[in-house]
Amino acid sequence: MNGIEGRDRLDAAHTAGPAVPNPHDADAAIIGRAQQGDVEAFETLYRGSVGRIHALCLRLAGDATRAEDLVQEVYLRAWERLGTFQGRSQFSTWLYRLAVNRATDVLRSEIRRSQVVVLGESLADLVAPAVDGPARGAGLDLEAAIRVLPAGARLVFVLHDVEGYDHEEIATMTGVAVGTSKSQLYRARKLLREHLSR
Amino acid sequence: MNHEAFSAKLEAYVDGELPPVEEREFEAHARDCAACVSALAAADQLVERTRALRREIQPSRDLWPEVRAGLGGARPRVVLSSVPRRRGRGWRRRVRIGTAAAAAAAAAAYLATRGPHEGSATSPRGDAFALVLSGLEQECMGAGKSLQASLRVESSAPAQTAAWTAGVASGVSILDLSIDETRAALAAQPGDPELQRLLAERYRQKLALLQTALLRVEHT
Repeated sequence: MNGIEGRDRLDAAHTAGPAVPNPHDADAAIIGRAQQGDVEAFETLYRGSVGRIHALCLRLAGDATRAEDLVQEVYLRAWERLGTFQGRSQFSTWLYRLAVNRATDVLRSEIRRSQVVVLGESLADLVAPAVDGPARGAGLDLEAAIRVLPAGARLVFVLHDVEGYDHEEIATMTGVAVGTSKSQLYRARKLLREHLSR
Repeated sequence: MNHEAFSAKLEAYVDGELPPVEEREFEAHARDCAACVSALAAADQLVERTRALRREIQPSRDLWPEVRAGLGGARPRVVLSSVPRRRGRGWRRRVRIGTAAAAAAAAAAYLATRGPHEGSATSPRGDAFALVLSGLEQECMGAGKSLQASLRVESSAPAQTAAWTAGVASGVSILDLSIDETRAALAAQPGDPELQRLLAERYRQKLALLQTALLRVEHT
């Protein structure tokens, strides 16, 4: 088993993967037009990236309504700040950072509260009625199980194991210590493994 | 290697961070210990299922109309050293060092460059307040541009007109500062009705000032 090291980094995914057009390489002109205030060009950028941004927001936020709010905020901020994008990184990477930063801001207090690890905790104990996800015992799949992880563990698991960021990058983006990032990741994996093993 | 050591090294193994010697010990233990084989299988299963997660998940509905509504007529901000900050303080500095004609031009430029979305207090969901605010922003921007255009025509305006224009721009810049501060407060307390009322009121005052100035310029 090789672990998850090197898994699906966003840049690599955009270089190799056909799933999403790479605006940086293929659509620099569209970015330029959007920077000049062309809303249609911005819509093209939106259409080409919203699936990935929504997937990220859904996993980070933990419920569909908050994820949709986050997606809208991310694109409004992207529009406001498009003038600051200078092409030093890929547009998709820039947009992703924006999404992670915004999600981290929104979830900050929740993340802080969730960093207290409860001995003997399990995902089934963490499924609250208010959470937008399957009910206890309904056979959660991994996607649903991620959504009910504690916020801090969820954030790190999604960024590290799903998106491929390393702990140093996560620490920079979210403001948590590298050690905290690692411990939250291990906590998330433990909860998810126990759940999947049932 | 015992169970405790195995458990302690499981995450490092999953992440490929164990030195080769420790990795071999780890795998050797996993082959001989049923409990650890099970733990490793669970770790492997999680890795595989994580890899299989969908890269894209489309929203359940098209969010573009709401995003589009939130954009209003604003253009992205371009950060260039040649573009002055759109703040009253910067405008006043420019006026102080200029001639009367330059002051009029600077005031006109200030009036026209201040666009909507100077903060992020509006709801991205396009609620009623956001729509009202967006409309007021658009009207203010339109009035500012019209005033700038009129002042450009009157570029040979006497010093008296320039001073008057500067007064209008100064008033607008003060209102803009108040708008920025109210927006910041609203960002901290989203949905606060008093702050929303205050913000809308400031925009209406700004619009009234711009429209009055426009009327005066056009009838001078």
